[in-house]
Amino acid sequence: MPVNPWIFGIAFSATIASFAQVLLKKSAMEKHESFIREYLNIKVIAGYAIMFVGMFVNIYVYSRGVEYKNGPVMESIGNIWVVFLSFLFFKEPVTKKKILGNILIIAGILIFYM
Amino acid sequence: MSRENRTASAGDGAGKRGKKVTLLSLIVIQSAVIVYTGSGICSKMAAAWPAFSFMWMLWIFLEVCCLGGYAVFWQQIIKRFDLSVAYANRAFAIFWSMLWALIIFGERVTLKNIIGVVVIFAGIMLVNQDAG
Repeated sequence: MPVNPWIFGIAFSATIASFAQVLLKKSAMEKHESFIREYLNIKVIAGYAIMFVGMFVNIYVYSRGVEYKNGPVMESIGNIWVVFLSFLFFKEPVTKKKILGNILIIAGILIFYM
Repeated sequence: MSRENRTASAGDGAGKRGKKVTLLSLIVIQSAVIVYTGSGICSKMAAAWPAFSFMWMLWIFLEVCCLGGYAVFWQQIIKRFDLSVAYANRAFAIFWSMLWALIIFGERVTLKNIIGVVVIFAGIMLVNQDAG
């Protein structure tokens, strides 16, 4: 059975959601003048706005005949982005386990669509 | 914040964090994970309706409720358990989703699908072992 190309829409929203996590983490690392400001600041609002957009992308993708089972599989791509982005923005080490884990995720996705 | 928490929790296993994982706590954590997978169900449900129709908006509202409920629930979980326990549990979301695909949406889950998901699950567990 041919793979519905719209599944890459889910990979796209998982990708932008990973970038949104960077914004949330950056905000969490900053000092804020009040409790409210921890939530009502440009980074947090932008982060949630991005995830909100991702939600609509997913709904649109599902409306193009993509089966539900594809969602969590393509979303696992987010794990790969998080390893890459946390190194890029926060210098979190890329360990052997993370690399091996990412290879397994990619392999699993390929097997799923074989 | 997660990294500091993780380092701290490694040292005080008997403290508030690093709480012993009982069957009940597993059920509680997995309930949160199931609430999270509910968000995907809502997306798929919303997709069956024309954009901006009442049912479309209702499912999106329910999805936001799932995500909000999960966020609050999860915050309490990571306060009480080691992050490694929390994330290992969250990796199970992919299995719950396959179950929903089967029983709620009546989709065909093939053997390759299952093997693929098991490999992805192993990968997520491995990535999270070293992630803070």
